[in-house]
Amino acid sequence: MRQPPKHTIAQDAIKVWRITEAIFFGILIIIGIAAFIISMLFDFTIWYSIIGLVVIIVLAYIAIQYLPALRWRRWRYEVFDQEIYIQHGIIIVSRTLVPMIRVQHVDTKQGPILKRYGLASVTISTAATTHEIPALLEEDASVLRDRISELARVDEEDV
Amino acid sequence: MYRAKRMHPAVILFQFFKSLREMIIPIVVAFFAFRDEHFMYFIGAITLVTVLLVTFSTITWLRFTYTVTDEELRIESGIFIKKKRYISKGRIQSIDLTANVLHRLLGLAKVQIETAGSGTSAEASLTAVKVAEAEQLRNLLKVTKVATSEVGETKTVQAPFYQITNKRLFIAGTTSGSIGVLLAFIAFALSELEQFIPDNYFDHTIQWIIGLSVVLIVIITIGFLFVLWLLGIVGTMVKYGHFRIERRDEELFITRGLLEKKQITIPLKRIQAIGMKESMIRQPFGYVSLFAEVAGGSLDKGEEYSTLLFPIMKKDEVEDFLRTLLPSYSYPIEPTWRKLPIKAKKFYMLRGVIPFILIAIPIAIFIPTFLWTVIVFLILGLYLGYLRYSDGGFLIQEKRLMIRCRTFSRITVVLFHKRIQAYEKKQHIAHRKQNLANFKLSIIGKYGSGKHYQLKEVKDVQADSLADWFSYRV
Repeated sequence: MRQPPKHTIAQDAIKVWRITEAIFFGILIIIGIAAFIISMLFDFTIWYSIIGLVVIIVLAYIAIQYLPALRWRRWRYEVFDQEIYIQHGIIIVSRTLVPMIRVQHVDTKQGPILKRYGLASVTISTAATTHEIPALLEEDASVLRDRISELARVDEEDV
Repeated sequence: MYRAKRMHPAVILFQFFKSLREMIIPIVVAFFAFRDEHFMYFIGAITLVTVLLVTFSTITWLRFTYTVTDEELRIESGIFIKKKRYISKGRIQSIDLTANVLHRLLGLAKVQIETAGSGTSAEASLTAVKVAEAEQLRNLLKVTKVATSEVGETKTVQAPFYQITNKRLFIAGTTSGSIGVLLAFIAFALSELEQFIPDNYFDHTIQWIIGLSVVLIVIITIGFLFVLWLLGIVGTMVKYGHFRIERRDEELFITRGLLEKKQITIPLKRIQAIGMKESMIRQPFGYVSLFAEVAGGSLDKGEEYSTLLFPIMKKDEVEDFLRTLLPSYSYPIEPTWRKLPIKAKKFYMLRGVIPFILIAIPIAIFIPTFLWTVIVFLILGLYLGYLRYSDGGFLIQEKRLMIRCRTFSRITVVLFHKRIQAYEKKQHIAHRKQNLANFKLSIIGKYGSGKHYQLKEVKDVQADSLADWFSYRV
């Protein structure tokens, strides 16, 4: 666990994250504007909604402009014959080891945004945890899924 | 040919009362609505409902049959939709018997059969069968085929067991108070202290009246807490009365309950971890309770997340207990822990104090006269943080790992390498500068969820060496 995992995820992940963040903050901004209009109509102090809106816009700028690239740079994975090694996190860096013999099932998932960029994410589940490798190229994702499911096919000793 | 059996006819009664209980509110509403003019309609409706319910319950009972074959348990049920459920013996994880007061009066027991499925309720449940039948059923369905002495009490070797004494049970009850009660006591002590604070703002008369009411409030509070405490004792006595744990071949067998008798079987291979809990009240007296993390199974209402192996014992009896019942889990009382580095102390103290700082801010703004209570809690928070720091530790023993940590109670867990599902190391910026790291490992918990153990701020190299120990790569 001293060395980070080797492989990065697809570079288009940055675009995908930007879009999801934009949608999320778009909704927040709409709510903020609604609050502003309501305060105007009912003669409440408009300062709270203005401060709220400013904070949301600043956060949105950071989350859309800077964070996706940072997150992409940190996101790494590596699949060995015996285990899966994942690293992610911007401020809190987390490195996870999942033994192959503990893997119960592997899924690939693709939402509309991922599909647009020809990407898919791989979800690995054990009996206690789930781990996701987001935004891999479609072929990579299905190859990885098949490989993990092949490797995970080990006789279970018990439980 | 295998014979299909029915449950005890008392099931009709149980089913009837259960349905009746579900309908009690509409019935009461109807009673008040039709009390005057249309009372006859009400009586008629009630009679009709009763007849329908009895018929329904009887048919349900008639239709419910179970058969034990060589390979499986077959259950057929349903009035309109016929349901057949076949559970193969190999898949059965545990068979629990419960008998509430009504069951016990009639010499019956409820049988709950569980598989590894992740449902929240038991896979198959027989509401009431004769106790002898229930025990026979358990023996028939048991996966581990053992030549059990069929007739009489001719067992030569008594299986190892532990039983609770009444004195211990009472101690368990008196110390069962959770942290909530402890906090209530502290709050009470503080409110009492308040009386001694000189207060010259009021004249003597008002002082006297307020003094009187404070005394009254204090008395009521004491009384209330005392009642709660007594209830706690009674609750523990009822729940864990006659507690007995026994090792039978590859299973642990627990019997407990004063009124509702419960028998639980835990196959050893389903145990994921064994833990010892020292609550803040019990720790000074050297008492602990033991629990197990068991995979799968259902979560009954009112049951704790972990399975209790023994409600209370002296800490120095634990080693002996484990050696007798679960030898692979036994450990010396005070192993040489790998402690947390001194650098970790400030993180723990800070975390202990933060919630109180957050509380202190609004208090300082709105009711500054009570700020001193916050300071008291601040000191307690610091102390708790220090305890958490000094109690934290882990230990690798070949294929076994021990972790000790504290949130309020001090928890010591023992688990095996092959039970760990995933290992995670986490570092934030401050950690990286100080060469510290958090680690978290996950095991299987109840009803298909995970149970996680986490230790914060160990040395970076320690977290890495733990990862090496866990890693399957050579």
